[in-house]
Amino acid sequence: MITKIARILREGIYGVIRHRAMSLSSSSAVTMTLMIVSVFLILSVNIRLIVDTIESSVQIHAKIEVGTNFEQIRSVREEIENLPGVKSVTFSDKDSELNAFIEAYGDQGDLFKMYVGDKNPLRDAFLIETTSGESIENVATIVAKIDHIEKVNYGGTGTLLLMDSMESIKTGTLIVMGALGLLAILLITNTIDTTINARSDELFIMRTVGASNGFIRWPFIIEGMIIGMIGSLIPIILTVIGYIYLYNMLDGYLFTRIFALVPIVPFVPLLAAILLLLGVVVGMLGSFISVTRKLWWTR
Amino acid sequence: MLEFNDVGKQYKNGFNALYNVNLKIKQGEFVYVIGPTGSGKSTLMKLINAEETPTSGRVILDDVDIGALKSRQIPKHRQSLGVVFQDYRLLPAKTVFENIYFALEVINIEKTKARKRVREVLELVGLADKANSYPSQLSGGQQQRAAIARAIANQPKLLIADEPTGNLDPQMSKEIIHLLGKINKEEETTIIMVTHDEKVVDFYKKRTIILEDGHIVADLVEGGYRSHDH
Repeated sequence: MITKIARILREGIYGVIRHRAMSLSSSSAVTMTLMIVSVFLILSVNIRLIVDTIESSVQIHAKIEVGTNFEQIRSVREEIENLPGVKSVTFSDKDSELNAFIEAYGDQGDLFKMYVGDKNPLRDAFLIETTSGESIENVATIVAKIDHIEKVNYGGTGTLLLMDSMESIKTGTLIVMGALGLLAILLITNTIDTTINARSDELFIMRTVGASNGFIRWPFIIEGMIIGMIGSLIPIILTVIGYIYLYNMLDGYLFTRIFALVPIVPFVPLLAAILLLLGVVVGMLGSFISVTRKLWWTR
Repeated sequence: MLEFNDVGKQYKNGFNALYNVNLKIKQGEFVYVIGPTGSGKSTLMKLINAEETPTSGRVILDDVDIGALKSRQIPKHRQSLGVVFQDYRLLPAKTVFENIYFALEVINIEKTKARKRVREVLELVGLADKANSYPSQLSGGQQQRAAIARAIANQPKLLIADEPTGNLDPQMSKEIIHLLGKINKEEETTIIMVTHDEKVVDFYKKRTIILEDGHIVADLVEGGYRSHDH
């Protein structure tokens, strides 16, 4: 058993080394494809994060009428919490409302500090988060009709349109990701197929000596895995260096503080692992498919 | 040991390669099969090698019906044969030593024994000093000797050689025939050699079977191509 595995590994490694030119052309196909996959993965994961941030930052602001007592506030809160599409409800009294206001104005916020205390003109309010962007409008309309709610605000149709496009972006990235994966397998299988085609003589020679299909196939599969591994090295190195550089250069944010980039750990190690795995699996599959196809040919 | 009983072979494209061929070859014989192109020589070989199955009749090697072998039984069958081709068919990315070693790995022989056997057959074919050369670094005659070494490494009962001298000059051809004769004697391997090289057949006389248009037209135990005058 061990000698058999040793033979398969040895033959696989020899195969790569002794067909240097072919191994190189196959692995560069893997390299090209994985580069594209890597860039796209980085883009899509970050876009998703931004989309999620935007979606969760959109909330409904419901002002409560002056003079509403605690009992009433609690029952209104319960009513809102039980609405379909509501994720969370936070009560924010007028003091915290003012603090938020001051914070939002940054340097000029000090101007509003004079209102702290009894002169505070703001109202207590509920901050309502919905489970998805689509339910904002619905929830807002219903909440507006509840007793003791003075006014509801959510940014209007602009927000709704934004939510819509966010959802499309999400599904879009998923579709492109699937297509890219398929393209990767096709491209790599095709390249490996060409190299194995050039070596089909070898397969037939092995057969005339009485080698069984499994005996012939396994070293080729190992060869494919090694080629995939070699091909994934450059994309992994570029991805790791590139993302860390980009992240540090942008200080972890895109344009503004709201759009945080996905943190380096655990994203980059995970991405490297995914690229390696993709390379190895696709190389293996490519070899397996094309060798098996060749071996079916003759008796 | 090898018997053809009423063997006929028609290919899918309708070409009829063999008609009712009856043939018996005994253990330890050296047999030439000669005939013009398209006479069915190669088909005869492919039937023994299990590359093709007969359309009628049976090909039997040591009580095994070759045409009835299932796909997964074929490797085992081929391991008991030695095959030599006109174009040598050595693995280009392996050294001479590794090419021969491969045939022994296939039948799962223990490492030290296998290495010893490789050296033995290399000695026998006179290529001991070329063990670490790649096929592309050898002359045609040397490549054919390496291929013969590979074919006999696993001590097959039967060696089939398809035009083994086809690509070689007369001097080389003589050497190869001498080598096959030596193997026939020393290793007691039964040898069937397909050729259309009259010189070879006359120079080293052995039983000669003549094929024409899929029929055996002569089976000359005394050998020699010129005696073919029916």
